Amino acid sequence: MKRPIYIFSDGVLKRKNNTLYFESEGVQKFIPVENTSEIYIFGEVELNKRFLEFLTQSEIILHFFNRYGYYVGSFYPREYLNSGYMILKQAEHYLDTQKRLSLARTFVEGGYKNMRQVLKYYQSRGIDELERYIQQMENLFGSISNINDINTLMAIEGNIRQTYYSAFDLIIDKDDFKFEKRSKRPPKNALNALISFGNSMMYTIVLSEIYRTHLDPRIGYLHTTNFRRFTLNLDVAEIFKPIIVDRLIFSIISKNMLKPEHFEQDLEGIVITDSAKKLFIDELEQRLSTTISVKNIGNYVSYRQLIRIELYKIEKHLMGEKEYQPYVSQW
Amino acid sequence: MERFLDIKGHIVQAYVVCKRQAWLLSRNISPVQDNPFLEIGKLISQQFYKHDKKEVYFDGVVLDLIRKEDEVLVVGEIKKSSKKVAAAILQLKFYLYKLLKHNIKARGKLLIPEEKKTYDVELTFEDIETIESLLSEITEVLSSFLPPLPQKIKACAKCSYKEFCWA
Repeated sequence: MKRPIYIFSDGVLKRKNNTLYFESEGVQKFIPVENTSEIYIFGEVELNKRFLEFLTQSEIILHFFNRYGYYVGSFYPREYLNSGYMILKQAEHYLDTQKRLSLARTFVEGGYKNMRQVLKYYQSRGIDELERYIQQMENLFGSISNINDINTLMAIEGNIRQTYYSAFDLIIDKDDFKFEKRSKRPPKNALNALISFGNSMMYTIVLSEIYRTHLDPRIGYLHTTNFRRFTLNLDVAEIFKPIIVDRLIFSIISKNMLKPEHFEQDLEGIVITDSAKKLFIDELEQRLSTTISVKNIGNYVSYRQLIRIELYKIEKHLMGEKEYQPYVSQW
Repeated sequence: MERFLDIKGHIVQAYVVCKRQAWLLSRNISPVQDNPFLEIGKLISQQFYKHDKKEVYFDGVVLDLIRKEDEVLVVGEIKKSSKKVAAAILQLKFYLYKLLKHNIKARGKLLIPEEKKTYDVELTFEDIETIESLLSEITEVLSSFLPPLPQKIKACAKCSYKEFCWA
């Protein structure tokens, strides 16, 4: 099984003897290329074209993050799975307003249902006040079937998410991790910093999975395409953010794994320390490799495979074979 | 109708096992690359028969291997196991048919190095008929707008399209 590699230290990444090699102050390490699915770079790393060529040949994506943990960008190697047929289908569903709206609505629906599922889960564990938020989200969601433009749909999606986030203080109930309100770039408190970091990770995970399919990440449906940025991964991530990122955040906070020392105040806002990022990523990897049983597929699949399966479902929708139904968690 | 007439060998082979797979291949919807069975297959054809000419492009198809035996051209097809022998033999006959259309007489050899097995394959008159009717049948299936629905067959178990078909 191929695994992602995370690099936090500063150093040089290069190709050596047909494999990947990382050199940093006194540490030299070979990274087996056959077992690497993608590389995340958090430190200051030097690399050259020869290395990028080797990554292209080995079909490995490189994701870069800056010192604040913000996503910088990805080296997305030349596509190795090409299907002109699928690209045309993807464009067709973008250009036809009705087709685009119906897919965009499905992403909002998937996101909403999973957010509701998260709140219901905590409601079943005794937080009764959540009912009010669930109701409010339900009302908002009820209006999306009449919406005929993407911007309004996006706005409603935003409102649903706002309501959902405002329930976080009820679930977490810890002074060090108050939510207050959503703040980004820069996040104003530890919880917001965690959400931003987790979401960025989710976007890159979905992007990596898209690279392994015939879909083009530049054509998204809910998030506006301008054919320059990756957007399809943002669409699909909506579905998985609540059940993977948010549940993970609740779980590491409730287990007291994170302390105020894991966060630093910077001129620009709150910064997550490397040790907190590592801890988060460890837990995230564990979650992604957790297997669950899924109808039809027959056997147990991991959450990571589940993301890939979601992309296959979208491909089948584009082909006109089977209408896309987003994955909704069933705990 | 789009032009699907340049049918490739692997499509013929796939068609015999699973029509849906042939349809997907015709749209270049290739299977997941991280399937271990596919990787093993690739390694096997790299590993063996290093003295022969390999991966020869001919009229839109790729012949795994060619060599001369007693002044006769031999076309080889390398497979991992003898599980789907019938489909593999048909694929090979399809290559022989293509060569014949270009006035090249050849014999075929199905090679299964891991099992130390080889099968000699020759193109008969009946084969030519079978292949021609098969090709028109394939063309018809491939030109349909939707792929044939997935059906649970024995081959599904190790198929690299599994997650795609049942998603």
